[in-house]
Amino acid sequence: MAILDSPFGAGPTVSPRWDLGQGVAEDRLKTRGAHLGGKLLAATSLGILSAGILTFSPALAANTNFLNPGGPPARTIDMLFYVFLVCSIVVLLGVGGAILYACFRFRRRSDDEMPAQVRGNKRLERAWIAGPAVLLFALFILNVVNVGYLRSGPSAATTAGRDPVAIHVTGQQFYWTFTYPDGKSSIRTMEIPVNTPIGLTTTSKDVIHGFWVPALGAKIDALPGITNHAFIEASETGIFQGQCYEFCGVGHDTMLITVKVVSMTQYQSYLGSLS
Amino acid sequence: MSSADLPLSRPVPRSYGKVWEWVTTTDHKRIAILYFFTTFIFFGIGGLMALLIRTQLAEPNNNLLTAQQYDQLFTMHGTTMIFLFVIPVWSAFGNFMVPLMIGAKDMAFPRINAFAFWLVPLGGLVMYSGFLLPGGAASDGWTGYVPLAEKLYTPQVGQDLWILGLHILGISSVMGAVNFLVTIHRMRAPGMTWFRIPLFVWSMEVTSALVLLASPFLAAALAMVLLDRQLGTNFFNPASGGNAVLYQLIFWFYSHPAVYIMVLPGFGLISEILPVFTRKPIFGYRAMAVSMAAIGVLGFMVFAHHMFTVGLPLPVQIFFMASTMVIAVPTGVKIFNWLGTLWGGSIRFTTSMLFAVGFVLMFLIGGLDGVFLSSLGIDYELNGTYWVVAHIHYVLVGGSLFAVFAGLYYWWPKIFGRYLGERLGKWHFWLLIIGFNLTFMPMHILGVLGMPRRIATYGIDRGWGALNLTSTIGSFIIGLAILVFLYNVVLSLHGPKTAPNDPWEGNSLEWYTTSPPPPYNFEDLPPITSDRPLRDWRLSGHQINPPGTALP
Repeated sequence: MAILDSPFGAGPTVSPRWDLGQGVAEDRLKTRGAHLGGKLLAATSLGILSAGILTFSPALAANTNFLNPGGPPARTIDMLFYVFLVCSIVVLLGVGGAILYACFRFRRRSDDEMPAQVRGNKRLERAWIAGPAVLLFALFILNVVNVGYLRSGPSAATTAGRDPVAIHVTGQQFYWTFTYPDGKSSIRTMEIPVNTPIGLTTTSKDVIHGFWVPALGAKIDALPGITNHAFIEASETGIFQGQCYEFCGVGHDTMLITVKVVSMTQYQSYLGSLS
Repeated sequence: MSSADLPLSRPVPRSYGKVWEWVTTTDHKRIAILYFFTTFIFFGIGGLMALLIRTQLAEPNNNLLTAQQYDQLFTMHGTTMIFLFVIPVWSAFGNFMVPLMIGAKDMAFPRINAFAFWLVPLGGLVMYSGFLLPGGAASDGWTGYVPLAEKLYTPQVGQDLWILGLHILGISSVMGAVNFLVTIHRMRAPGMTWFRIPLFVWSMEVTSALVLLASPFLAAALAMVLLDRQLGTNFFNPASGGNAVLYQLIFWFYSHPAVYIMVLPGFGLISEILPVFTRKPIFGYRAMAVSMAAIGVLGFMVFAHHMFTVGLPLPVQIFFMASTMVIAVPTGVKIFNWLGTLWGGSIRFTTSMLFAVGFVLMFLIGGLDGVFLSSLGIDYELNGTYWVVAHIHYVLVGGSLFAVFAGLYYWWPKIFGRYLGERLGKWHFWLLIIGFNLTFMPMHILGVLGMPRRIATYGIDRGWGALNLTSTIGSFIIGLAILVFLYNVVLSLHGPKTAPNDPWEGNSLEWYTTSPPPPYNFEDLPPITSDRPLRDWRLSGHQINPPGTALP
């Protein structure tokens, strides 16, 4: 409560975050009981399992999950993520499996056994420098090819007929202000047109904040005294959630972002409705 | 005056002789024990803070802690674990083992050594004293980013005390580093060439060089913040022409190498333990030494990968993505060489060995989830989320902490002349590895689900509740594992001194002397003609343990 009463809470009020009724508390207890056993089992098994949960996780939290993308930039990042995930799981299973196999296969059986004193193997050592180097180089190239698009948005040629919309994002303790091309602004909630690249410029009035709507594209810092550029795009209408990701003080967790993706006509009338 | 005329210690008043002896000691082994004692107290405090943090996050909209309290806790948890536990605990191991392993009588500068130690509790107390003052302790995270850490946004004196505490700890680690470097360079026994010194000594060499070169940058960054706060300068104040990003560049120029300061000694220690319990030499000794040096050099060239979302020019970002990926190669070499050491060995699973293998597996995961963060595209999503929290804990808990325990079970008989219980040790290991994975594996998924780090609570609509609860349960299992360890320690210290000189068939010189070693360590030394002098000595028919000694 102290936060809401503090001088920082100068923006419009948000509902008190721990104002939970009796019913909610009971529900919570039930949820805890129901999930405990399953989760205990689930989380103990390593890497493979996390991949499994990742695949099914969109159902858990539909709107803050970048693996449930709302537009082209998030889809590009997803592609990168899945490539990295597959490579790491292969490496984890291969190397981790070999370590576990060695642990079982080469256990000491009698107290006076003495294994061959192998000090190394030049060919093997070269192979495990070259192997990872080649794999990492491929992953590097894959990133370099895509990163310009993620930061700057599509090239002018590919956006013919759907002119980018420029929105200015200002962070301050502890809310966001979104200023549209016509100079009007909204706070906490931003409305954007669907299928339109949104060029963001970000800045901050006080400390460093971070703008992030996971399902719509790359995150970017909002810095005081410096203007940053980023780009998001949605290919479906709906509501997408995000929040400040750079620690900015006591109200950090209340600094939420809601993005409403609407049709171009609805967007135009929304702009008209702003004062 | 011959050295025999010099008194070993000053006469002291009788009544508080025992305490005075420890306070004024300059013996590297006693200083090491003081380091162990102090760092584990800080580890306990940091751990209790972690349990409070986890309890707060166990369910959505929890109000156990206020945001102000939560912010101080995660700040002091991170600061404690990094600067008061992991970094100085390696000084504990280094202090005890480096002189013994190279066949020296003490560290090069015993008094500087004692001074460096006493600065650690002092630095800690200065930082913690913020809790007693109005406004509380520091609250801007262990990274202390500006402008948030400027007086306007963080008015409490606790933030200044945090800076002063870190300066004190910085002085301590620089003095320690110089001491280690001079000791390793100047005090090796005859025959102990660079490619015969144990890999743990190599790791302390590289680590100390990193400390010496990197710490001044942290000191500079913090000094500028302190000047801004107290004297009204404007280094980081954008309104007066300062630059907020400048701090991050200087801070990470220290803090990325600091990651290696925290984990390299672990690499070295694991490279000592695996050969002993497999009865094989380390696979690729030279590659291991060279890869540590390579990691040390490359560690200075990757720092801006912590800053991929601050809007640095794209070519700069691409350079740091490349250098970060390159550093994965020598790290991979180490993991493969540990695998090569296990392969074809005669493996004996003591508790120490279990922790060592646990280290390799957990560090493998911590390496792989770090590669995701090196990718610019993926980092644009995962930066600042719980994925990063998972990664740092896989490296520093799954890595450093597992190595610390591997080292403690391995060297405990040498340090105290007693064993740590193997049965309790195995409980300790299994509880820890289960609790650890239960706590931190779900954090990867939370990162993907969009949970930012450092939030005091979260809404029920976000769907992060179940995974956070899992994580909290795991953290209490870790707490239980640590209690088992403490019980083991208490039992051991009350038990009989049964450990012989060489309980594990060791390879290095510390096992040549008695357990615990006498003042000045050695009466004589065996000839040193390879990187395993003690094994050579044993195989040439010499008895190291007294006849009839029962080994564990």
